[in-house]
Amino acid sequence: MAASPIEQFEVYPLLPIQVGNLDLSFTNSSLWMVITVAVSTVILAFSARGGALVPSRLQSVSEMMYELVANMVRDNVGSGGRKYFPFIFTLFVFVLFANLLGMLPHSFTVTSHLIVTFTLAAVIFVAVTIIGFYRHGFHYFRMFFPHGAPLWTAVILVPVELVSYLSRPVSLSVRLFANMTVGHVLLKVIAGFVITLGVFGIAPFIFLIALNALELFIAALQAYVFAILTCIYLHDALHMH
Amino acid sequence: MGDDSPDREPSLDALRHRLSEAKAKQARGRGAQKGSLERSEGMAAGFRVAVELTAALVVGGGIGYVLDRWLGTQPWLLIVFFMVGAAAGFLTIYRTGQELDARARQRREAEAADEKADGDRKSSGG
Repeated sequence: MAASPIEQFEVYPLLPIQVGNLDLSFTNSSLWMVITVAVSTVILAFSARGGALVPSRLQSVSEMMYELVANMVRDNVGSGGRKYFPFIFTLFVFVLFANLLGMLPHSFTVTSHLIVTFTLAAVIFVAVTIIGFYRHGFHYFRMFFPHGAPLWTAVILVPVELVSYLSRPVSLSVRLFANMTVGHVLLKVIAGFVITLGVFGIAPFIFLIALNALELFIAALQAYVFAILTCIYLHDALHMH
Repeated sequence: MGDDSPDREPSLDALRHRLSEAKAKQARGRGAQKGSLERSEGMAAGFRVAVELTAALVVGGGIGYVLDRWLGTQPWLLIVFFMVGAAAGFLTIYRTGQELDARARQRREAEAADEKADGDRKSSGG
């Protein structure tokens, strides 16, 4: 019997922990988050240890990631963005490794759960809003009303801008979650065809190989998009529109 | 070392030839790769716009629904905020479009500058 394509997203407790009414069990999702953090930390620390002038392959991987995020922060956040670099870099590396480790057979994709991506997005949203109010004070409310518009249009414009602002964490989290979930469901469904079609399964099998390459690309691209949108939101908070 | 010097000139020429050949080959490969990369990026941009529109509608509708439940004014605020959400969605899409346009323009300019620099090097390097 072919496995259900959404079985891979099941969260089950590995180490049940119950505190009062709260279920704080250590699940397979928690395990893969720990693995993500551990693998990325080990790779970054190990590759940076040598610090050779002519980098080894591993060292150039981490140097490329560093340069990518450094350029992203410089181009998109602008002045005063430098001190947020560690946060953006951590975010990018976490999402990237979570996506990529999810491509391993029998692994669990942390970012394929809306609650995980929404928590990340909510932290970013709250932090960016606090930074905005901290930098501009009460003036930050100008975000919700374009400069120079007639005052009576505020009745329409303020709710529209407010909803647009509040929809940011939703779109940020749904995009990552949907991309990962759809990709993994598709992989499982096509893989199911390979078995059921017998000899003719060679056709979906070839397609599956191409799809795997595409999924790897999407895993990296979505981590990039997640980080770049964080940069853009940060830019809005620091400099306003 | 001593017997290296007679064929030094030809080997330098050969090296230059091989270098230009390799460069041309790389450029061809990059062209093909760029096509598929641009397609995937276009897909990502389309997906981004779709999610942004839906998110604004859901947030707008959600606010209307909650306010309605709270104030007991069903279904009026839901309708109003659904429309506000639609407007917010279009506003977000408009801004996303502007941002993507700006980035594409930036990249085109950078590429044009790159090609120009390459051409200059070729004509002066001979």
